[in-house]
Amino acid sequence: MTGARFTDAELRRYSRQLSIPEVGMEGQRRLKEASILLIGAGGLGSPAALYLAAAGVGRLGLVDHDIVDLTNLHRQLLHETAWVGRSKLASARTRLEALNPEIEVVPYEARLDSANALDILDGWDLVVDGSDNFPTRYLVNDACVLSEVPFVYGAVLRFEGQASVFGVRGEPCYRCLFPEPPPPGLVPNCAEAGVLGVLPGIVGAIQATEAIKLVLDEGDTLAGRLLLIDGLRMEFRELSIRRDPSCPVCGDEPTLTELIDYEHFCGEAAVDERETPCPAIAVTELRRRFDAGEPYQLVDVREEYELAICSLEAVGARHIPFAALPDRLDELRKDEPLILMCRSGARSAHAVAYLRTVGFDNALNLDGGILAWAERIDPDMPTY
Amino acid sequence: MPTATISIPTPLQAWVDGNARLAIEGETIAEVFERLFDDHSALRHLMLDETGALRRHVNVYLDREHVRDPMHAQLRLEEDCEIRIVPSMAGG
Repeated sequence: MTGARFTDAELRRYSRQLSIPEVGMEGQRRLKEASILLIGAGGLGSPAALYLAAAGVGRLGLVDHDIVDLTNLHRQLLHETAWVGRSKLASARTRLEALNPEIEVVPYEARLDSANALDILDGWDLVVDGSDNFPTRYLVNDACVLSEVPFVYGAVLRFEGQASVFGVRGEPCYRCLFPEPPPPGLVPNCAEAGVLGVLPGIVGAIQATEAIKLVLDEGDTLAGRLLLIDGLRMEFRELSIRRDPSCPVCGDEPTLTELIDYEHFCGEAAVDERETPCPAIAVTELRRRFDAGEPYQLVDVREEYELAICSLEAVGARHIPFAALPDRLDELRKDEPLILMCRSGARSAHAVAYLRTVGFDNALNLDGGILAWAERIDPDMPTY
Repeated sequence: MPTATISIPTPLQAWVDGNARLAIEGETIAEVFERLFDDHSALRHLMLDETGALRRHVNVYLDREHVRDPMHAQLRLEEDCEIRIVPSMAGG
């Protein structure tokens, strides 16, 4: 046998997987010589990194720029309470090296962006995408396809998850499945909608499984398939994904041959030009109207648990959750300004768009939501 | 007329009274969706853009197969088929 050699301690450490026919000494050597880059040391990155480190993947790269927050700890098991307020990468590295000192952990304390992505990806065999936002999702896809590095995809929300493998030559990429991001605010993130802590555990472990199979070149990966996980009903469904010949990145005649501005792509660019612009007012204008005693209706479309953190009840906000609006239109008047608000202004923009389709031409969006209010009007207000 | 089961993903369930599944009759996917939107009008805005086309972060599957342009697909539905709405999600 050529290549990596193992100490007695390593042979003992990996003995329970060395006895698997699909692994064996050759597979374990492949794992030791493999390099896998994880984007994000959060909910998905935690289980994926732990299992890949435990399995003996020789080089594990981690890209993250966050600090450990108390709200992370119900799902991000790389980190501990004592590390709140400190770098996630330092926390992750400490935990992974304690778990398996035989491997090398390579930290990138950076936010992955168009300027650094191709450099960071250079030299890695495989990527595991554990990012938590659409701009990074599209960036990871495009950078991996352009670099010809396969990546294992995973995403979670509440009790649901998705997993697949993209970027394998001849197979579909993420854009083949989701050509464009949702308009801002239309799909809630985990901060808004929540996530059961176990779900990224399940999906991250699936991502680690797929990564190990890709390294071993064994089994059937999820390339060309989308796995849907429904934890509430405990159902696993598999759907087919076809490569799109007109895909701008991996299609027959690619038009996207270098990285773009993904914040723009997922922000302004994601708002279809055919859509009616959303009329809005600034938080300073709301404050002025309140102080002047001018009439308005202020409707908070957030969820109940969000109101418990902070609210604008003091300036007259009423609570009607986004999804309850269609059934409660009779509570709204058309003869005075109707101001919709949420956390950041994205969900309420869709509430305004919807209300305008049913005749509320007086509907306005509170620009920036309660986060803008906290920043510009009431800095003592707790945010989330 | 065949009855299809529509599987509703988490982000959209609040708009259909919390249901994860609905049984709706229709000869085509478009017919089923029109009936769904008639009963739950706000869902139309969430799934379709102002031209009536499916938003490009949403996929529709008939059983295991992806259906491109489902609002115009003429495919005839069969009894007990499953229509699944699959939007993108970014949480990690």
